Amino acid sequence: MMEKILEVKDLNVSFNTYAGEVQAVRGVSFDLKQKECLAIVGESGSGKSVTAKAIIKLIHDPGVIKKGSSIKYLGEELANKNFDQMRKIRGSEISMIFQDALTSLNPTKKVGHQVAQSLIIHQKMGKREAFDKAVEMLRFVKIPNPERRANQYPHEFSGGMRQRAMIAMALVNKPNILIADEPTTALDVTIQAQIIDLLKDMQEELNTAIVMITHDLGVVAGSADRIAVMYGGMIVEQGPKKEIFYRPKHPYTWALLNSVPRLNTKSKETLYSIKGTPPDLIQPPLGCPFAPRCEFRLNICNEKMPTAYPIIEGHDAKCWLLDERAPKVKVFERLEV
Amino acid sequence: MSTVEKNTSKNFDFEFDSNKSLYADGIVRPSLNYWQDAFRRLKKNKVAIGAGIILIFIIFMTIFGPSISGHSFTQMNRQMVNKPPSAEHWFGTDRMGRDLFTRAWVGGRVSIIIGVVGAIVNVVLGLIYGGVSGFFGGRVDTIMMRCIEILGSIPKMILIILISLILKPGIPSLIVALTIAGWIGTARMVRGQVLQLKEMDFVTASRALGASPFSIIKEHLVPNVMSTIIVLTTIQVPSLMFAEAFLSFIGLGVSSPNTSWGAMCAEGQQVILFYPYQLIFPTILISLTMLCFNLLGDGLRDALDPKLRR
Amino acid sequence: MAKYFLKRLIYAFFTVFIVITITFFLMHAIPGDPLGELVGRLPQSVQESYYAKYGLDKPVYQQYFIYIQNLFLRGDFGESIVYPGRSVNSIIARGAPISARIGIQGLAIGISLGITLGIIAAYKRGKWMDYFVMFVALFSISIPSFVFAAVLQYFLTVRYQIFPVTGWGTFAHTVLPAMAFGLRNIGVKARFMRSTWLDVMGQDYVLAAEATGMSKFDVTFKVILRNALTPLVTIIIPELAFIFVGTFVLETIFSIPGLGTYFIAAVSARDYPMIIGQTIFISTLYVTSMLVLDFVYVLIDPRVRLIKK
Repeated sequence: MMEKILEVKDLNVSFNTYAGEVQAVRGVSFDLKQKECLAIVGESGSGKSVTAKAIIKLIHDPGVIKKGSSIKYLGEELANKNFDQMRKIRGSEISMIFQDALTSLNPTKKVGHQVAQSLIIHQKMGKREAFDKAVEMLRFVKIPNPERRANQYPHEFSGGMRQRAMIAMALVNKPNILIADEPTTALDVTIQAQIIDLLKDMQEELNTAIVMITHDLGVVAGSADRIAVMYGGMIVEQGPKKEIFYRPKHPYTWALLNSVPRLNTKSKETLYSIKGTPPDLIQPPLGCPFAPRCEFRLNICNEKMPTAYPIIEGHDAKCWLLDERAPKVKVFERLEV
Repeated sequence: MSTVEKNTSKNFDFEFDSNKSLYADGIVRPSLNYWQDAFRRLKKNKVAIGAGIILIFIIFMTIFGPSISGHSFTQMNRQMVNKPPSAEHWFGTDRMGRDLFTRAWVGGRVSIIIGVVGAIVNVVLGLIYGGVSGFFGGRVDTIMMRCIEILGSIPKMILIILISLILKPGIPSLIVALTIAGWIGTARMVRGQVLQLKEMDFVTASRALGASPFSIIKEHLVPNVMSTIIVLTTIQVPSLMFAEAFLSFIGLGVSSPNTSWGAMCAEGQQVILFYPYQLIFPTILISLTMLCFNLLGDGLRDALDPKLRR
Repeated sequence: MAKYFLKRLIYAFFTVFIVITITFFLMHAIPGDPLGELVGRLPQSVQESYYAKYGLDKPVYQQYFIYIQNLFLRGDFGESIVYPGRSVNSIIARGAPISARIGIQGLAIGISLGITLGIIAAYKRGKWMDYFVMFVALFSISIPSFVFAAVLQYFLTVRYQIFPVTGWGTFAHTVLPAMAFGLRNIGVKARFMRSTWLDVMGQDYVLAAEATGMSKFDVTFKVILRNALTPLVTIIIPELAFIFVGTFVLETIFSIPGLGTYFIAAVSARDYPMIIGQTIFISTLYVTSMLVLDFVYVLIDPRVRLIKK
């Protein structure tokens, strides 16, 4: 059993907007082990991005990480740390890359200097030395002609190259954890695969654990070791990749897997889609957030949120169907189209 | 469901929900259309509503105020020259013995008419010009924008002065002079918005479906710039009132015996050392009106474009 | 790049030329005798000598060519009709520095205070401080500058004689007009800076910079301020030309012998050469400042550099 390097317990994040308190993340708990890649999957608005940002406390006003939330990195509680204490961890121990590298790179600063930034901050390197190191890092993430590229501005890069630069920037200090917030969403499909491969290589070479935030199960299939499925600000099911893909237990996970287009689908079948809209997180439902859209809804689903039912070691799901009193549902056939 | 029911059926909780209406959106907040939502947001904005109420009161007074004082705004009285406020003359009298209360509301009428009509003219002109330029793009756009650039490179106030020198004095001429430069900003903004909207997928889609330019403008562009237009009109009013006051100040505004707040300020300013009250009332009125229009404009912008709200 | 600037330069020149033409013909289209008020007072013979002197006896297009020639070859804006012997050039030379001084002092007050207040409001967004600053800003925008001027004049000169009422000469004379000019500017700048700052603060690259472990100070000054600079420069540079217009009324109120006072005097006396000359002067300044803006843009925003290549 590998050591847990990140333990998130009962994470609650809210945003106080003029329309009311948006409870974006409600009681999320998960662990991350060394060198592991955990994928957090969910549709937009499920709270997955907020969860990712909350790990390094990049939640700004009007958002707040609520009291009682615990984020333990190597046994150290991050939830109580102030900005300056967090600063020492950000970019050196835990790094983050964002969805759109064009908007995530400072448009007025040369790429080389941006990559060098973390080195200057955390390793107290001189400017010149850091810049040379940055060039090396750009070469490491397979950016061709890194000496010239380091002296260019982000808008002179293509989308894929920008994301590589972003990754170089995040990994330059060899962090223990990399949080990747939808790293491939803004890219073309062919480039997506390259970036996923690059992330995997980096994970191997630098022994970095990755928290991958995505809505794309294709990305997950390629890279993740474990998967957490988020819906309505909660993790509804989590487990090893194989378990989630082959023995999913939550109706939302079924629906999610069903909506992935497949090549062997008979041509007459229409693409499966989950009907309805995600819940309103200003007035979150009392019961299971997925209940209104769930085909297997029980009466209790409308009233009470189930606790996590363990399936096997490391795989659990929050669904009343797993209760012994619930009717048995055979859904597995539905998946094997 | 009642508790009784729950008890009778032992396993009720774990039966399938018989209400098969899936994806019940009913439990979420009622969805409102754009304008309802905007109105709901506006109603919540106490400051904007307050400003609106004050404006309605001021407009009401400019219509009925002159008749409640019992004085005509042109009636001079040599015995009552430069008298401070009293029971007879609530705002005092000016150097010709005219009742300042009456004049303040008559002047307000002129100021507000110039402000509102001017703003509407500005926005309509800007909308047409910017809309045409942005929609057709290419060479038409280049030429139209070059014209605007040249017109825009003469400072607005100077352009206004030059135009009002040519035209015969009077309120319509004033509006023409004031709007000659004011629509440029609107036109630029509308053009920018139209250019942006043109690239949006829903416009491309309807164009691909063979919609005529006119119907695209009507169906897609106008509704999308509507909120911008409403906000622009509101916030243009004070700047037009200011420009009118500026013209009155240098003697190119409305001519006596007619008056405006700007003209009254100019007259009051000349006697500030001796009769400060002559300046105070028109000053307060013009400032309050401009403030209210600005507050209302801000409120409208927040309500109509939640993205802009911070 | 050089080609781009050459193109801009030619455009600017062309624009100035058209402005000159429009102004000239506009002023000559005004009904009435170009000698204006003087007509009644002057004997016929003197009138005719005036006509000859200013070329008013020639057709308008010929007058135009003479004017253009004088302007471009000798930089000569002509001579006042109302005050014969007083050249437009000398008036500009005398008035412009005075107007510029008030304008720049006022702009300095407005920009420094406005930016500071705007940034404070942005950081305190949604707090009472934000509402307070924004209300003050809106208030200052909603009050015409002559009202400020009058209030300042009343309290600081009439009631408490801290500053001289009107006139020109010492630094004390510049304080009140500059304040009146600056106050309105504070509001404009504060509102602009607040929204720009919030806009930049909301960008992903600020979050990404924080994610690298940058200090709050560095994020504020090296990332946010640097990126908020571009839009700020965009609105400040054109204003440098407009300081001459913004101070018009203030100069009249405080009896300051600046460009505005002369311009307004020229307007009231219908002194056409003066009006035309000053209009051209201010417009040229404006066009030039826009040209400068283009250069500065390229300096501070690397994105523009690429597009303009």
